[in-house]
Amino acid sequence: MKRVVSRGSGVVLIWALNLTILWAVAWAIFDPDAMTVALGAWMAGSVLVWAASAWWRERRAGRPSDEQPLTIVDASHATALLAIAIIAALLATQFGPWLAYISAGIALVAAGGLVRERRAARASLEQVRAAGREERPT
Amino acid sequence: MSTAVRPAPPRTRLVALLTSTDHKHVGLLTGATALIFFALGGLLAVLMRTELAQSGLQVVSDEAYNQLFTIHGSTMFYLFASPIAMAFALYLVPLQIGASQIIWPRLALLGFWLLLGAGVFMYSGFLLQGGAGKAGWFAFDPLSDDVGTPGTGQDLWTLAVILAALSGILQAACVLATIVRRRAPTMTMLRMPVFSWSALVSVLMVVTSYPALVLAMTLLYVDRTTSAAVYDGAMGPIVYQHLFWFFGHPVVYVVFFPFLGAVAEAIATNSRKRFFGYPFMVASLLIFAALSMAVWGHHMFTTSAIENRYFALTTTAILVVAGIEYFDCMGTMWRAKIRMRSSMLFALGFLALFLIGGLTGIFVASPPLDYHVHDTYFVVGHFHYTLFGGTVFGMFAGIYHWFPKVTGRLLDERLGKLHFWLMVPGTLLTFIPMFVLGHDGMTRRISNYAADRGWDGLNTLSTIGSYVIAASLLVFLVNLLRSLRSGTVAGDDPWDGHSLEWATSSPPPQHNFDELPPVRSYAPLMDLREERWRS
Repeated sequence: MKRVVSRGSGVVLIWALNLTILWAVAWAIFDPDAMTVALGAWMAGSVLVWAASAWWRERRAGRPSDEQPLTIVDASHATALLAIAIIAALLATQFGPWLAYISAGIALVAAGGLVRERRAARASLEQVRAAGREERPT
Repeated sequence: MSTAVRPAPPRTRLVALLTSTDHKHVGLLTGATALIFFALGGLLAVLMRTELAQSGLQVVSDEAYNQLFTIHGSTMFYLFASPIAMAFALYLVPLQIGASQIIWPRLALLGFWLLLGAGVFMYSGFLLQGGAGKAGWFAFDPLSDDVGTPGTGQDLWTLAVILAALSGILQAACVLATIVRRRAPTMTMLRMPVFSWSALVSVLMVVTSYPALVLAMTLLYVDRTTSAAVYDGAMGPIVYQHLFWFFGHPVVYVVFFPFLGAVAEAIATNSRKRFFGYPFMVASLLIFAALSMAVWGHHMFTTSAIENRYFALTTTAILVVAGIEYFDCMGTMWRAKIRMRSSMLFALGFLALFLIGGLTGIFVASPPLDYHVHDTYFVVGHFHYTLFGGTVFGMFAGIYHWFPKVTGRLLDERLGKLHFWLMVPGTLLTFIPMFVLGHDGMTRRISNYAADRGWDGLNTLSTIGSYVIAASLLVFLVNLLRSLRSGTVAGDDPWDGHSLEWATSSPPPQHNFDELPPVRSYAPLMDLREERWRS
């Protein structure tokens, strides 16, 4: 048990099992309405699937190594733009399609910005890796 | 873990802050936004209490009163309590688990912006002709449909709730993924501090329950704005209530657990002892959180559409695990040399006042008793002891505890104690009369009552109490502003803290740690101190 709880995905799995037990108790012992059964099943089922996939991924990939370089993203204008696009898209349902067009335009700019940010992050990682290779004794 | 920092282009400070993906900046922005909404929601509460101070008063119209209680409740849940819980988690969890950054920092930033949008949507309703949303923070259908509550204000309210829920889901996913995937190499799950565990169960509940709110509100919006009659039919309102309360009860614990964790940290640090019963606390948090996902039906006892026995059982079972958590907190203080700082006072206030909320919860967990007090001021008193006595007192314990880490400065202790000693009587004076009024039959959400009911005295007391709370919060504001401008410099670890965040500078650098101390337990800094004493 201690080994299971020591892993991040193990805790999600325990969480999923707790929810499943509660749903099973409701379904097997009591006489719940259809919505209670459906919501309980959705809750337990979705978390179980998610926990299992997290467990599988963790086993496959292992924990990130201490030596692995990591990019720290310090700012993202594109994210702020994306949020404005989402908010404008919701407002468009009240104030008409003209706002939806503006929102789509902002979303496009934001998507472009996100791609640029990812490229820059990758390039910066490559630089660090290359520097590491140069420093390594042959 | 080596890091590569991409140089930032020159920007103004405000733009830099508003677009920063550093988890500490996102946490601070989310927290500051939540506190501003706390102040706004508090102002609405004072207005409501002024209206109810005496029978026959007409400070605001009935229509305006409906908007006040709707926006007050909505602000406190969607724009203050849930975001402030996420703000604490976003700022502190990566520091406590030795991570240099959160996973998916852009999503966390997106969450902040969506929260800001939600607040603007909700409050812009006041500028419209028909006013803001007025169907309660729960917006039960058919009251909230386009016939029951027509107008753009209610539409904007619905969109605001969708945005706030999405914001919560995004930020919770970031915290969850960070805990699962980015802990320091020696930081196993069972070495995480209690606060990080409490944040973990909280975000697990968010990602499980908030989608139901998004679904309920999206369907409500479609129902209001198109001809699709989503919630029509005999079972429509029941389906809505199921979806809403599937979120609506867990959220109470989402906004409670992180502050239980904050209180646990404050108690352990001020008691100069390790937290007592750590494994039991972890187990009880996991069971408590799971149980609280299975109690939503107790809000629907009076509908006769659910299995009351099941929901009464699960709700009552929560008392057992809550008892374990109380026992652990008491055990930590047992025979300790306690330092009675402001954070400790608020932690003790949390334990005492939340207990009143918990004990009155036993009444409403029992269907026959709930039938009597349902939709009365008894319930208002009960949930304010859990939310104000629990969340708000716990939040202040956390603020007084971690303020030096976040700002590098100390809050003034004398003003902190004055804040506490005003807030406790204010809370008791405001909410205790509500139990008596509710038992006497005063229903919720009324803007007036007949003079011959004999409710004037208790209502006046309650209103005076709300003014005392407001005064205490002004004291806190003064303390906050003074300390930010000219507070005593705190140093890295002014309290002899136990967890990793106290091992870095105050405020922490962008990459959080220059060097991590060894982690051998859930109190790594205490381990180091003990080693030093021994040698």
